[in-house]
Amino acid sequence: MGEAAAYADYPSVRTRAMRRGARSVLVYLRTMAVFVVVWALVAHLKSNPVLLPSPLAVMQAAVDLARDLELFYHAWVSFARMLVSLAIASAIAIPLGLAMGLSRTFDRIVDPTIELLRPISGIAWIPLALFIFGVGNALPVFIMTYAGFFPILLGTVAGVRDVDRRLIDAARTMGVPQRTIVTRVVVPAALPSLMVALRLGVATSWTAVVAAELIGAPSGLGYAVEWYRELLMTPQVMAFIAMIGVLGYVCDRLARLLSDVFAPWASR
Amino acid sequence: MHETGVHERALAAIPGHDAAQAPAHERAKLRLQDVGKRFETAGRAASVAVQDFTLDVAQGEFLVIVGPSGCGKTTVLNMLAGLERPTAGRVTLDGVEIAGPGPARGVMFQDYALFPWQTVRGNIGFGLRHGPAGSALSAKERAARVQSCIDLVGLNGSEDKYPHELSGGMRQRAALARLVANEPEVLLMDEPLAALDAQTRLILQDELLRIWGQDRPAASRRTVVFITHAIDEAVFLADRVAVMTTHPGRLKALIDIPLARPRNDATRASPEFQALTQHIWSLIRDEAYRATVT
Amino acid sequence: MSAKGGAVGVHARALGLGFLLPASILVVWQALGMASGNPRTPVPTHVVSSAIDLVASAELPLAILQSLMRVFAGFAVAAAIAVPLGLAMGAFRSVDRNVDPLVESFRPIAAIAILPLAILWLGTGTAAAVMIVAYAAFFPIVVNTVAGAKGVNPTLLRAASTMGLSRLRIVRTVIVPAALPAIGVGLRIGMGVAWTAIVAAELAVGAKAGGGGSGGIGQMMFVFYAYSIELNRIIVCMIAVGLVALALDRLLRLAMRLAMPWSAT
Repeated sequence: MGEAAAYADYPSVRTRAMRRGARSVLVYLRTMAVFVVVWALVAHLKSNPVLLPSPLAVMQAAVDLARDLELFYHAWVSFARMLVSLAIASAIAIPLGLAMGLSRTFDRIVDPTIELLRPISGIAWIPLALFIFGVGNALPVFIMTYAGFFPILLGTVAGVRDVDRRLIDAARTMGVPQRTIVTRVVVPAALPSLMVALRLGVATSWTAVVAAELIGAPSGLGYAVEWYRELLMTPQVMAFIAMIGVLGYVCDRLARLLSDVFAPWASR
Repeated sequence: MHETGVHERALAAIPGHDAAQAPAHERAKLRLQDVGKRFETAGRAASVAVQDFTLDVAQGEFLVIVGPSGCGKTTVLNMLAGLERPTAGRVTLDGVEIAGPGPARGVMFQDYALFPWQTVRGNIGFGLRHGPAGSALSAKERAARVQSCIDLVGLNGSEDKYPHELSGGMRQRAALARLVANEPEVLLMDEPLAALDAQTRLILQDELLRIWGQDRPAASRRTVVFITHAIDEAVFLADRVAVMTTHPGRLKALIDIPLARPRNDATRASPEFQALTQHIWSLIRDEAYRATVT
Repeated sequence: MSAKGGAVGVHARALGLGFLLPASILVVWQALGMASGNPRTPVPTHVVSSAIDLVASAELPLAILQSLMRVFAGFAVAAAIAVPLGLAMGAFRSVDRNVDPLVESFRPIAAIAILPLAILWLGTGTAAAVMIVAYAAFFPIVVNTVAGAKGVNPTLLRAASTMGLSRLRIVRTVIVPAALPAIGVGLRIGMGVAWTAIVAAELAVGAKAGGGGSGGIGQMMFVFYAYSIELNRIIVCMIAVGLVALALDRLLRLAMRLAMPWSAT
């Protein structure tokens, strides 16, 4: 009610914001249109549908793949693997990060091991993990969990360490006991940084999933891309690559949404 | 007035505000005896923040510490709060040595230290919910106390806002309400008005004195130690002003402020006010000047 | 004196604590590996001897060198495009508005996802690997450069324009220096991503194109997995991948510090 009334008083604010939104959509469409036209021209000149199919052929392939749900099946498989991996990674990394952030001694014991493992990218684990897990669900889940683990851990540790000292002091001067300070001050204060870390974890594990599926999984977007490449069906390859991009974007949006829900005070 | 009524009820619950006791203002509530504080930094010479600091603060007194930046004012306050321990001398509350922070001494921090994930209401009730101050209260009583504090500082209508949605002045009010909600015997304030613009500052000085209870008898007032670098603010608020100097932080002078209470805009305009301000400025001018060129 | 001795003591104890966990992991690993009885099972002592073999035969150093050359080539291409583009986007609103949709549309596509296209277009050799690396490194560099150029204190810009500087000159004298630390961060992140990408690309090429020689450390690992099943050697390669990543990061950090002594990062 109140807000509507405020808008009624300043109608220009609302229309101006809408106009700006509409204009940015237009600019976006214009840029992408230029891109597609250039692509179509080059494809036409090359006239080699295997090397560079026309935008229309890719669109057609995407529609066909969507119609028999193949596109969504592989997308769902990859997405589900990422959810499972992030859940496992968070379940280990968040408590570990809390303990490392709170206890200097624990940090000194664990941190060197973490720092020894961290430079070894998740992808470098693929050959060894292939040997241990074989081709299947376990391999991509392991690689993604590993890839997502480090950003989440480091973000949690940094979040706990960077908690504003005076917030803790404020709670102490109210006589709040130590344990309550951890649960009611340290954890919420570290939450925004944890959410940023989770977003980073989503990004790194999404990159890792494609590599892992490309090499060692019988399903998923990475597998599909490679499958159609071997069949030299380039339009399908490009449709799946686009799906990887779209889903990567959606995952990032979801992580942001999670941050807005759990740490609404962090957004400015 | 309605607000004053609420406030008196809140005050009546505080131990140590019993009129039957000996004249409250004559007892030393807080005592700093030969207090010193050195900070040891690995690989560097220890720095002396405070040295030979002796000061009594009476029950119900409004004591203001002024001094140039870096004179150790905040260190003194932190020692009173129990957030830092002195490296020499004793700091006592009612004769008992202060060993750590406690709910009897409430602190208001310079930029308020409001919990960003709590609303105004959540911040004000934080100590009641999680600390000892509210352990004897039912949820209903706690809510009533929080509400009375919201009324007291005039934050009605903003109870459910988050700190980042508040103006500087409103944040300051929220921090003040949070402080009062725990009903501490001693209020320790570290430059609570420093971040505000000049007009808001004047308004909140008046508010602060009202909440402290300047129009009531001295016995029913709380003890306040207030830190500022603004001399006019010190003179306007204080019963006594403690002037500190730097390197190391020492007590240079203790000045009585005999201005009549309640104080208001007329006080600020009075020649006595101007004279006291000038006098204190003359005590720290040389040092403050040196601080701007070195 | 005593404080110094104490500090050294604390340091030594911290170091000791740090060694505790890796050391015990190694011991347990060795014990379990020896108990398993399978000669294929990797154990730390065999990993060390494999490492000595691989280094002595120059196989490992050569593979790393080949991968590094590809990383440097791809990284150079990425930086050469991303830094000027990012500066232009940060300094001129019109460039930003028109190019940003393209950048943001391709950014969520993982570099490895375009590997099949790269193989299709450029084959399984160095050219495809360089393309993947360049694609991977491009985005962190461009995003950080834009952020750096846009984050310039507007008062500095206004101060420069009140002195009568032209827009182009402001870019050169104010925006570029102010954006340098952010560009440095972008280059560092880009280098890390590039190294990860080359390993992934070589692994995938190895996996999909068979043993046929594009080389590099990634493919070397895959050959050890697929053809000779030498797990000890795979672990040596993993450690090498980690060490190179660390060395690259340190090197770039050092370069940034030397190039920008005023910046804290």
